[in-house]
Amino acid sequence: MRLPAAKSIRLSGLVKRYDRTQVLHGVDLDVRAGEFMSMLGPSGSGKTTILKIIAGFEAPDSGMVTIGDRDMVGVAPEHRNIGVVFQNYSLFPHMSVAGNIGFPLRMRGMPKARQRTRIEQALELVALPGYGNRMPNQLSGGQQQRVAIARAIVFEPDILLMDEPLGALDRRLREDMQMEIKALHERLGITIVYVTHDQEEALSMSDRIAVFNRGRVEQTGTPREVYRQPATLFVADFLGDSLHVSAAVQDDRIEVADVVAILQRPPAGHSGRVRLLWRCDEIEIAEPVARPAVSGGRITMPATVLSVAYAGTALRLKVQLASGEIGTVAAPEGGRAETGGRIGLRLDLARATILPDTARRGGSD
Amino acid sequence: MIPIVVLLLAPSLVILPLSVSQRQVLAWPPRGFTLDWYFSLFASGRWWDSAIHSVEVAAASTVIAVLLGVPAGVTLGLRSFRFKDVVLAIAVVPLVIPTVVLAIGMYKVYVWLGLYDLLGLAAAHAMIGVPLVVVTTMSAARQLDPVLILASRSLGAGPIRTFFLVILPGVRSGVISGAFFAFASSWDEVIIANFLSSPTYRTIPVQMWAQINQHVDPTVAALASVLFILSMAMMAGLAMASRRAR
Amino acid sequence: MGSRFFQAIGVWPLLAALAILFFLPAAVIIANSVTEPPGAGLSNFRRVLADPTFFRFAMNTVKIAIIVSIFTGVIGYFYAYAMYRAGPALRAFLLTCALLPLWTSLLVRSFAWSVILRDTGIVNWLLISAGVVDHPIGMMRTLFAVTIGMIQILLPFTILPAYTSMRRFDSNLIAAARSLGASPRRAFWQVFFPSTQVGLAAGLVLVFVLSLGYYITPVLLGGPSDQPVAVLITAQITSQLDWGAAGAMSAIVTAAVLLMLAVGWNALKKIFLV
Repeated sequence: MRLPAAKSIRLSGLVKRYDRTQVLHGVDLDVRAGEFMSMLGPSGSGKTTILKIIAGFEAPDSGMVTIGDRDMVGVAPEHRNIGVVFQNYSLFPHMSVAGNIGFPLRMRGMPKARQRTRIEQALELVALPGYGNRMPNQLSGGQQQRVAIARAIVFEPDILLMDEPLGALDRRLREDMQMEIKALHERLGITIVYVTHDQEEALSMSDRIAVFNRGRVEQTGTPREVYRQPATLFVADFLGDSLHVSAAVQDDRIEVADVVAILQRPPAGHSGRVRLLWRCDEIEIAEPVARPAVSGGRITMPATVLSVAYAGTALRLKVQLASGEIGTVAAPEGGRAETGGRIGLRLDLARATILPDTARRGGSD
Repeated sequence: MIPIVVLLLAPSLVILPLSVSQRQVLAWPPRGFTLDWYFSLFASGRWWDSAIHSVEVAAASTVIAVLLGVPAGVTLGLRSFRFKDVVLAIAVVPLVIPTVVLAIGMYKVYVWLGLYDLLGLAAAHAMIGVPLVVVTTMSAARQLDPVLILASRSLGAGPIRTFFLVILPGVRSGVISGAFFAFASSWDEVIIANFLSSPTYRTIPVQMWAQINQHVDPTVAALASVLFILSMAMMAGLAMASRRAR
Repeated sequence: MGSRFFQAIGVWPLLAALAILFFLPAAVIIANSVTEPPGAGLSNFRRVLADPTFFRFAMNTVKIAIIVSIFTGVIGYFYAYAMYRAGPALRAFLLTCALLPLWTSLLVRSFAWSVILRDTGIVNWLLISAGVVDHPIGMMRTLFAVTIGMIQILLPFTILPAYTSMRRFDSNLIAAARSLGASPRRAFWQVFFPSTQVGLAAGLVLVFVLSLGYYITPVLLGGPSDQPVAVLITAQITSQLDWGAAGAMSAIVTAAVLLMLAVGWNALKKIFLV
């Protein structure tokens, strides 16, 4: 089973408000044909609203939705030919597995015999051959979600939308299903828009990620780009642990914690107050120092360990700098760090991401 | 607890033994055993006629109540719209307005509309039964996952097919219990029926009411026992039907 | 999805039917209070409110409603609590006992009470057999007969809402209260009762409102001095042909019912309409 031709999605200027709260502030997003695009963000960031607008469950107050080259404004959901997989499976409880998967085929008036073949093909695709006569309540959560996926692709939709489809599953099963969905994507070549608030899931599955915050797209990019080169502090914080410090930039001079260093590559477009950010695995732990010191493009800073957490393969240290700034640093297992201890942090200026110094913008509401 | 249980069950438990007593009056303790009162009850064409009328009225009013109440209950349970609370209050008010007030009002208006006997009773009882259908359907609809409706739409079913293929099966248990309640409330109703029926179209409660007020003999106890057993059957029927619907 | 106009299309047929077949009759009878005889204005209300007969019947109605509400409230809450605490088998039995009266015809039950309470009924037989009394005590055609009949008939309406609110109660809260040092009695009164009193309130409102309109039971079990307004209204129509007075009385009773319904609306909504 290979779908005819994957379609692209273009969202432009989407605005949506419910009563007095504006949930989307002019969202633009392009999803290429055949791409696996994740929409990542905290709850209330607008990602699910976008999904509902693409599916046609909600109408935007203004803005355009184009799928392939078809303008979708005013098209009812049943005429959009879009597959949707929901968080809580949403199988029709009074229909068998085959009844559920056959539902979209029945709606399209497909002859019974062809329906049967297609249902069986779809069941094989999600590794549930022969399950057609079961009722949904006889299946485990993982099996129900596979049936829901089969139901959403059996009618060869133009695109597939998935709304936190693995949110209700436990961790182990979730990881297996991530692999399967990824494999399915490669096999079918279908365009997938995948909504999640789990950054690891987005990083491991997607071709590209759009990070949402408060009804806006903060950054769009490959998993590597959004993780290593976050465009904003929000994206940096949402995608993983890091340490960021306040700094002042002028041309190639940078002033951090009362010491001045020279940057090898002057930052384009930044001057004045900025924040320098390192991912927690980009920081080296050194011997304690009395005061900040610069040598060879690296700054060593004194810090106090606030807490130590064991994270499986490494330790996660919560540290506080003399300036009061708090961040997270990864340390090898078996290190000497202990709560209340003093350590030095060696920060490589060449690896720092320079971000505008905005007030921290939170996400949840 | 035992006194309360006795209080709850007393009327049902006392009437059965008296209906098979050989005494000519309804006096305790019962004496002997006879089914004569049942024979005379079932031999009476009058009671059979009224039984048929009762079934006709209850069935017709239940059908009307379901046709009106299910779409309303589904809408109230799933949609939000302006004045929803007002609509809800309007829909349940027939349950509590004193039947006497209604009965005389209906007597005036229905005669003018040409509604009496079967038509009039069915219409009137449907108004009393419809709130029960609305309430049970609405609470079933509230428990329906609204995402199922979105799923159905995204899979290609329009609003009408979604209603019949997804929503209606989803609220089935509520509709069934509402229909049973509506049937029972019509089956039991005396006052409106008394006003709206001609002497040739009496329902069982009307007939029984007349009988009690004229001449009580153990035949009435036999009838009361039959009605009691029928209500138990209805209660059991609902329990079975709703178990199957689930 | 769909235009706003059609959002509530499902309630339209119901509203149309209710308007013609329910509200029009109710409105017509109430309108009689100011149109019968023509040009009556508020004279019917003045007449009815000044009428000692109406006052007596109205007092009966309120008296019966209050007594019945108090007893069904206390007994119903207690019964619901017993159901809540009982094991599954006993609970099923108690639930069936509570539901059975609801399904049994009101007429049959009122009639059965007349058989139970009459001089040759089971209660007098038991009292005489036990030697408590020599002669039957007259219970029929008394206020006692009316209230006990109505209490039995209306008891399910307090048991079921109270039980509904108890089933929704999170039993961990009692454990939490106990762990914080509350005695079982204090845990009940300070945690359990406040969280379940909405069920009690809903039941009380329902019973009070329903008893205001009771007709069958008082007629069968009560004496001439125990009759409620509902009986007086029918008498105005069937023997006096005084539609104006009947309309005024109907208006007063209906207003009382709607007022009580408005008072208890939130509690009723929480219990029955969720």
